[in-house]
Parts: sequence; C-alpha cells; structure tokens
Amino acid sequence: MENREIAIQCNNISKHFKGVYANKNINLTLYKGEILSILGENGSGKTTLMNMLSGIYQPEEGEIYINGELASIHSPKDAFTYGIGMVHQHFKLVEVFTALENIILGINDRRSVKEITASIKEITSKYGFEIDLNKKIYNMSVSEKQTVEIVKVLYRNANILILDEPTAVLTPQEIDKLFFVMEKMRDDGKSIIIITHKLNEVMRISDRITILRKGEYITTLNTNETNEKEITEFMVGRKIDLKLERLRILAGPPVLEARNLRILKDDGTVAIENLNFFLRGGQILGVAGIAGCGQKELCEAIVGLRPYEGVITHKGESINGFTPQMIKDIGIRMSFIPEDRLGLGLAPDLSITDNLLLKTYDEKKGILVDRKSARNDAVQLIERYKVVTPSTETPVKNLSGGNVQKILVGREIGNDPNVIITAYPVRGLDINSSYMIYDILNEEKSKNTAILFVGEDLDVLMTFCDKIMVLCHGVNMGIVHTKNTTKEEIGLMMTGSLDLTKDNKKIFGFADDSLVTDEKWEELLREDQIRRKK
Amino acid sequence: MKEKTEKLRTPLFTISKRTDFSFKRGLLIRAIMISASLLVALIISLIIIKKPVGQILSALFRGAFLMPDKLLLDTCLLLGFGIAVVPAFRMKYWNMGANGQVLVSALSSVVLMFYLGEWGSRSGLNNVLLILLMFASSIISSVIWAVIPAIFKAKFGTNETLFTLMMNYIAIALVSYINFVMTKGTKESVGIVNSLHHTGWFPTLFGNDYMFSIVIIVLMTLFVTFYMTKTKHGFEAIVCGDSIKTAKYVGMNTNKITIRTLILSGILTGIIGFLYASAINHTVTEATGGLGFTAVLLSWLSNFNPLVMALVCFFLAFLTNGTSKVSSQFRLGSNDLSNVIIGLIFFSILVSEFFIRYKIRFNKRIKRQEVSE
Amino acid sequence: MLVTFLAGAISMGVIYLYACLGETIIEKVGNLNLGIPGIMCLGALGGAIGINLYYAIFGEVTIGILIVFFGILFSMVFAGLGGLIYSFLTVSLQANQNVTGLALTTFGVGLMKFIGSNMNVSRFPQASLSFKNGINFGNPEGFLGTIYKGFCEIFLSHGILVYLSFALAVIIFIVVYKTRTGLYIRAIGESPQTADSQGIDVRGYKYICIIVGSGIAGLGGLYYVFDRSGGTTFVEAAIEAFGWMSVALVIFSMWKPFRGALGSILFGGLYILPQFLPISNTQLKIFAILPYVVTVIVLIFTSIFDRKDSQPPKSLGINYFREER
Repeated sequence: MENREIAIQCNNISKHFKGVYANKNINLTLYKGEILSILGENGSGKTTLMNMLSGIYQPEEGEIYINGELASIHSPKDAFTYGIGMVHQHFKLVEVFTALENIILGINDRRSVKEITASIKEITSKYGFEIDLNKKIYNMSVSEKQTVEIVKVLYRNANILILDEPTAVLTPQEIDKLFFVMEKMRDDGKSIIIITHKLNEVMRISDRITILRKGEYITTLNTNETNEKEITEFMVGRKIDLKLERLRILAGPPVLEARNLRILKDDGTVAIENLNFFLRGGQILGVAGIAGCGQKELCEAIVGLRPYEGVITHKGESINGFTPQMIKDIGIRMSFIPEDRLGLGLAPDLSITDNLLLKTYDEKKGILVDRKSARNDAVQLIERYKVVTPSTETPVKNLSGGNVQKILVGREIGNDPNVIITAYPVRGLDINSSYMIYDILNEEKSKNTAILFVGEDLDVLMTFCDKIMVLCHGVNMGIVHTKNTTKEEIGLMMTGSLDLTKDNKKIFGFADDSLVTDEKWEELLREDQIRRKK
Repeated sequence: MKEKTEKLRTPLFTISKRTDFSFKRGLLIRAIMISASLLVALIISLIIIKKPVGQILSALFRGAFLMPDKLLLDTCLLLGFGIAVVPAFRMKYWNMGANGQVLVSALSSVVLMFYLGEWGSRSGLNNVLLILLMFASSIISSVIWAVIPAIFKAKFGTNETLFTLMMNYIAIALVSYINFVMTKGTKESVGIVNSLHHTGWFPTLFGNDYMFSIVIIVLMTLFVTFYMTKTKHGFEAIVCGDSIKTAKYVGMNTNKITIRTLILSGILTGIIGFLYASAINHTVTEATGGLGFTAVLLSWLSNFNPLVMALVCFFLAFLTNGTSKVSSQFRLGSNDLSNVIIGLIFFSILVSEFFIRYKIRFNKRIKRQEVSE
Repeated sequence: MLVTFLAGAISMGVIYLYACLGETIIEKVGNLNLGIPGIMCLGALGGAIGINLYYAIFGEVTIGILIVFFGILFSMVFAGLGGLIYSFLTVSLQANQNVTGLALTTFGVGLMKFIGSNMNVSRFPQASLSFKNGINFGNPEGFLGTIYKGFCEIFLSHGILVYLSFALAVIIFIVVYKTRTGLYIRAIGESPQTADSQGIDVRGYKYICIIVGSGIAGLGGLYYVFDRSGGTTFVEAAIEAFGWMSVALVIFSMWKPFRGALGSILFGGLYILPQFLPISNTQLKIFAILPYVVTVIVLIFTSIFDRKDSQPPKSLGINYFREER
C-alpha cells in the first residue's frame, strides 16, 4: 500500500469559524486509483475539509500536496487546474440548459460542438454513463442530474473526484449504477473521495475509510480489515458525560399522535415515508438521523406549514391539514423552534419587540398592536435569558446567533405551550447558551408539555431525551428508550445497518393507550385520502 | 510559472455586509454625497446657462419662495404620492402604478364633474352630492386599478413591477381617449371643467385654493404612519415584506394581506386623484400622475420614514419651483433642469447606501510574499 | 393601403426593436433595467450632439455616411454611459435595480430635455435625410411589377437604421443562442452562483452586457428623432413612453430576439393602425391601449402556465453578491 502514488496529501489542516474549530489538524491521504470514504457525524468537519480541497475555503494552517506538489487552491477554477472536481450535494446546474451546455460552461474549448460531443461521448461510453446530452436539466431526474455533474467534472479532466453524499437522493438501482461507474473510474486510475453515511455502502464501495469526529482526525482504516461495529465506535466515540440531566417524571397520555405520514421535500422527492409516532405530555422524544433525512420536513408538517399524507391527531382530535392559524384557533398552543431561525420564525429586519409581537399581536381585540406589553415582554425576556443587545428595538439580524436563538426560544416558550417542536435548538450556540436552552426545555417538560427534539449530537440525545426515534432517509428505524440503548445501536440505526422495525413484531410508533380507537384511525385515514383526492 | 502567480492572486479588496450601523456615519456619508451631486448639477447648469453663480442661485431661491402656497402644495402632493406607495412597498410589493391609479381616479372625478356639472349647479345640495359621488368613484376606480395586479400576484405570482407599469400606460391611454370623448374629438384636453360655476369644485379653506388639499394630505400622511406603526394590518404587511416564510409560520394569510394592502394604496391614490380633479387642477391630463416614479424613489430612499420623506419632498419641490424660475429667467426653454438634479441626487443617495451598508477592506498582500519564498 | 401600413409598422416598430434588443441583452444577464426610457433619451441626445459636432467640423458639406456614423457613435456612447452608471450602481454597489432604473430614467429624460431645448436643432431635418435614404428600387410595370413594388416599399424603402436593427436582431440571436459567450451570458442570468463556480467572470459580463445593451437601446432614440420623425421633433415625452413599451415588448417577446423583431412590427402596427382605419379621431385614441393590454395578457399567461422555456431569466432583478470567503 505504502508505495502507491499519492494523489492528495493533507498535513495538519486547520480552519475555524468564529472561534470554533471546524477542522483541527486533519491529515488525509488519497492514493491514485482508490475510493476513499470519509465518515463522520454531522458537524465533524467533512464538508469543510472538502470545501478546502475544491477551493471554496482556504485552510488557515497546514499544507495540501497534490501529486507531490505543494498546492494553493483559491477558487473552484484553481481546483480544476489541479484536477480536482467536486460534485456538490446541491447540484450546480443551470436548469434551463441542456446537459451539453452545462458541461461546457466555463471552459474555453475552441473545438466545434461536434468534436466536443464526441469527446463527451467518449467519456460516457468509457465509464458506462447513460446520458442524453440534449435533454434539458429541468426534465431530468435527480440521478440524471447527478450524472451530468459527474460528466462535467470528468470533462474538465479531473483525476480526483469528490462526491458529497451522492447516494442520499438515489434509489437502490441508481446507487448500483453509480457504484458501477465509480469502480470503473477507479480502475481507470482516478481517485475518488465519497462522503456517505450509509455504512453498508461504505463497506461495499470504498477501499479505505477516514473517520473524522468533531473536527478532528480520528483514524484511517482499510475496509477489508474492519467491520461496521468498529467503524461506528470510531465515529461516535466514547460516551461523554454531560452535565445534562434527564428529568425523571411520569409521562402523561399521548398528546400528539401521527400515523402513516408521508411528506415530500420541496423538490418533490420523498422526505418521510410511512412514519408513525406519538408524543406524550411530560416526555421528550428525540429524533436522531443524519442531517437532511426528513427531520425539517417532519417538523414543518406537524406545525401545519407543509402538506402531508396520513393523519395527525391532538388529544384524540384530528388536526389533519390544519394551517398554523387553524391550529391556533382550536386552542392548541404549539410552539415551533425551527433550524433556520432568521429565515423561518423570526423577521430579521424587525426589532426584538416586534418579533415577540409576531406571536401575540392578534390575541388582543381591536385593530391596534400592543407594543407596550410586547416591549415589557422583551425587557423580561432579555433579562431572564441574559440576551446581549443594545436595546429592545434592535433588529434581530444584528444580534449574534446565540442571542437570536434565545429570543426565538424565549418567545415560543413564553406563550405557555403544550406542544413544542424543536429542531437543532442549540446549533451554533456556545456552551452556556446551550445549557440554558436545555434547562428551559426541561422546565417545560416538568409542566407536562409534549416535546419533539430533533438533535444532532448523540451524547445529548442519549442523556436528555426519554425516547429516541431514529430516521434513516425518511424511514423510521425504530423508537428506543434511551435508558435501554447505546450510542452504537443508534449509530447503526442512523446509517441504516440496523432496522428494529423489521425483526420486531410490534408496530413502532403506535401508542398502547391511544386516545383514538383503531376503527377511528381507519376512518381518519380514509378521510385523509378523500381529502387529498379533492 | 506565470500561470502559478496568477493563480495565487488575492483580490485587492473584499466587500462584506456591515453589521454595525452608526446613525452619524450614515448622515455624514449622505450629506457628502448629496452635496457632491448638487455640485455636479451646478456645474452642468453653469455650462449651459453661462451666467454667474450668484445670479443662478438667487433666481433659484426667488423662484422657490415666490409662491409659498404652491411650494407647500407641491411638497404635499409629492409626499402624498410617496405615502401612498409606502404600504405596498413595505411588503416588498413593487407597485409602480401610483401614476395610473391617480390618473384613473382623477379621470373618473372629472368625467362626473363634466357630465353632471349642470345638474350639480342647480342647487347646493346637488353640488355636495356630486362632490361625494366624485369622491366615491375616485376611490373605487383607483382601488380597482391597484387591486387587479395584486390579485394576479397573489394567485399566480405574476410580476407586479411590469404589470403595474403597463397599468400606467393603459390609464394614460384611457385619459386621452376620454378627453377626446368629452370634447367630441376636437381637443386633446377637456380643459378646466366648470370654470364658470365651479360645480364639483372643492371649497377653499382660509381663502386659499390649495389649503384643503394640503390639510388632507397631511392627515393622510399621519394616518399611514399610524397605520404602519400601530395597527395589526400595518404590522402584518411589514412582516410579509421582511420574511414571507415567517409570516406564514405565524399563521398570516399572505395573499389576503397583499390584496388588502393594495386596496389601501388604491384608496390613498384615489384621494390624491380626487384632489387633483376637484381641488387642484379641475381637469385631467396625462401629466396628472407624473409624480409616481419620483414618489417610488423617494419613499424607498427615505427608508419609508415619513419625516425624512417630508424633508426630501420639500427639498425636491424647492428644486422644481426654483429651477423653473431659473429656466424662465434665463430662457432655457425647458423646465427639466430639476429632473437632472433629482436624478443626480438619487444616484448619489444610491452610492451612499452602499457605503453605509457594506464594509470595504483592503487586503494586505501577504500571500504573494509567501509564494516568492 | 396594406403596403403603406406594413411599411409604417416596420418603420414604427424599429424604435421599440432597438430598445427591446438592448434590454433583452441586459435582462439576459439578470438585470431588469427600468432606465431604458432614460437611456433612449440619452441616445437621442448623444445623436443630436454628434450631428451638431459633425456640422461644426465639416460645415455645410453633406457626407451622408459620416453623418450617420457620427449619429450612431455619439448616440451609443451617451446611452452606454447611462448603462455604465446603471451597472456601476447595481453590479458594483449592489443598489436596488428598480430604484436605480427609475432614477436613470428621471435623469436621462431630464437631461435630454434640458440640454436638448437649449440646442441648435436647425440642421436636424437636413441631417435626417442621410438617415432616411432608402434604396431606389426602380419602377417596373404590370402585375408582377406591383407586387415587386409593394415588396420593395414594405421591406426596402427604409433608412439604414431599420436594416441595422434587424441585422442586430439576427446578430444578437446568434451571439446569445449559438455562441459560447451567449451561453455564459445566459448562465449568469439563470444562476450567477453556478456561473461563478465555473470560473465565469460574472461582473465583467454584466458590465459589458449592460453597457452594450444600453448603447443599442440608445439607437432607438436616435432612430426616432432622425429617421421616424425626420429631425423635426426632438425634445418630447414620446420617447419615454416608447421606452416603457419596449420594456413591455421584452416580456412579450419572452426574451427572444426574433420574437422581439416580430413583436416590434406588431406593436408598431398597433400604434399606427388607427390612422388606417375608418374611425374617428376619438375611437382612434382607445386603440392606444392595445399594446399594453396585449403585454399584460402575455405577462399573466407566462405566470399561469409555468413553461420553463418562456420564463424570465431566473435571477432577473436580483443582484449577485458573492459573500466573502
């Protein structure tokens, strides 16, 4: 192994954002003619590292050698000249162009269209791509678009390909096809870095595996000398003791119950498939899963911002197809703390006062808004959560991330909710702010509020939640009690290696003490189908 | 080797969004830029007029304050237009159609005034009824004009900028058509309607023709300021403009809010149109709605602050009246010096906005040295 | 009758066509320039200045080709300067496009009227002859002769600027749709982020397209003053209205130069149609709304039927700002 030619050598790469290390002393070696998997949980620094290789970021410390030469990559164009091509998770394609037009975009190729087409055809037939060069991108399936991206990179003579979660959006058949192509490219001497979370795929396609955790380099393994269990252990690390506490109280009856949920993403692909779950009062249900496997869509559907198939009930009453306004109107106090705080949930240009007003402005009768009491609320909130701000009238976009989040959480908790839906509430926050948020949620739990907590840090999920629902690409892998499970088990479920719903007779996500009878469920589901047909 | 050095080039400076805003700094930048634009305007006028600076400036000031009530009216009319576009703008709805809205509303009033003038002159009661009728029809026609593009925007997402622009020209064509109809195809304009018996004319206040209009527009300004800052409806419009997603998140019906806000805009321009017809011009021509674009500019660049808007309006009215005197005194043959200056001022404000909102940092050339090692 | 009508429609439509072509190029890189009316006025003003300059240099000697050259050159330079102001503000300084455009219109219209009304216009009708010179097509007899003459009157009786405009439509079509440069331009209009990531100089292209597009749009003003109106009307509001019509025409043409050419003839036809109909002056006026109504209908239809091929460039109206890396 050691005497093989090296394509990329990274030595002690570091990069930090706003004082937090995204990458710290990362080492990475990529040989010619191999497929290397990079594994790590969310926030482990994979994407940052790849962005440095493709010229989007520059490392602050450390060197990158490409084919043995010290390289300095300042732009995607530089990356191309070094033969590095990256296929991003979100495709960079012009929708109204044909595949051909997208492929030749930005290259000064003086040859005629015929010759160019011929040389693209050469590439496609060499690696076995199926592609219609004259098809417009907007008419293409996700897999076809991905093919265009890969061909685009190859046409730029890339010898090093970086594929960022290429399988996330593909069907099993399409994945087979992709892997076939990848193997052909490897046999042709090209080097490929693949980022994926599905362990079975890692085992199947890669020659070696590099594992990152929390911005740091952990180890590199040869695929044929390891197994899924060992990899998972490296990935999740040893269990860390957090100063977090799981509040032990007796959970109440189900508050929110959902069955047969099917939710689509914005681009029409499936986000959530056939999901059942329920939330009890005084209980925190954690949701674990790799980023982007349906958590955001699930939250939006529950609070009425996204259409869905299936049925959601609140205390036995159907709230199917309700808008946020309707949910509010029937007296449900549902709070939603979304992941994109400034985009959804807060109005960035408005003041703290006005942002608090958003939730309460139409509670009082009359045509006027009551800024006075909102200002009082703002003063209280600032005091209680120690928000750092010049005044109550400062636009929230001028505050730091932690303070923005405190305002959102403070507002959402402020109107005494009985259901809280929250996604990554501590993302981007410092330790103290994070613990403050956890404390607030625990306090709410003690008031018998039902809480859905979408998280990314397994340690937190394990210590903080009562139960964890694990999603893998929108499919429920099982719901486990945190006291009866291990991080490894959850890791395996997240990567799709373990599916508890398959070998267990019990149907996951059905409450034993459901407030809705089975007959009623069936009726509701039928109604839902009729409603959707209209 | 040459390719290598080029590859490692760092840009001369980087531009990033500013997060700290200082009021004083903003004021200073704007003041500098506006002075610069006025200087440029002065130089252009010197070149064209070829007279000493003192003469030009004195003509400018004398012209501006020759008729104080006219100056006040012009200020208020501009302010009225500006205020009328504010609600829609605050929700980032690009209503370019204030011109058209004012035109159709003035038109409908003039038509009523023209055809019912005789009936209205028969008794005082008739006259009052006529004025009320004119008022109602002004509002209704203006609202229709404002709401049509809004409905399409809400239902299908039709581009409102271009739609409302077109609505202006449809209104202009209607005005010239109806003028022809009223004059039986003989004249471009119907002229001042009911100039003998003043039927349908708004009463004067304090013996001044313009006073009533000025008072109404001031009230209108106060109302809109109140509406935007104190009422739920105004609040909803602002939230929609800031983040449509957040508006939906808290359960607002954004389509309803769009249409409602444009109805308000229609009512406001309807009032202005009515004032044009009944109190100011007593006629309608294509020029009646001419302030709409300036209004769009000034309300946007004043950041919708009514006080700033009022100041800017006064300044613009001052320039318009002053330069018109300059034009006539030096026989320039055109009143458009003011538009040149206004254009320059707007450019300069746009430039200053950049320096207020963005930070420019010059990069030190460290990277290059590293390479040469 | 029909012959005169069609010839008139083409001749009228050329005013729109220039501005439409110019604006099409500008919108293709994602900028909605509402300054077109002002730019056309600047073009007219520049042309006028250029022609006065010609007479100042050459005196009474009439060299047709040189007069036209001076007109075109100065017209494009002035209009291009307007475009430079617009692109500096929107591309480099990130100013709002609508606001900048309106300010440019206010400025351009004002400047033309202000300077124009203090200008010596006595030579313009004389200069206009050089612009209007059509091709002499003989006078054959008989039925075929009539058809030939009709054909010639419709298509060959115009001045040089008319042919130039249609030639430009062809050239712009080829550049935008058949060349690599055009591909880059369209990519920038659709997705500046993608274009940027492929190493395309987004700002450079935007500047060039906006300035060139403005220069072309300015020729519409030049054409109106020195060909269509024979040098007799210079300072008047009509150009502004033509400018807005042209912005509408861009939508009507769905950002395609050939459709723009056909659309300009249609719009021109609609504009002069009333003169050819047996209707009173009064009814004539109502016809003026037709082009606008047609445009509105097109606008609504394109938004209802979400056909990908007839949509505006996706980034239209949105400035591109690459965040600091």
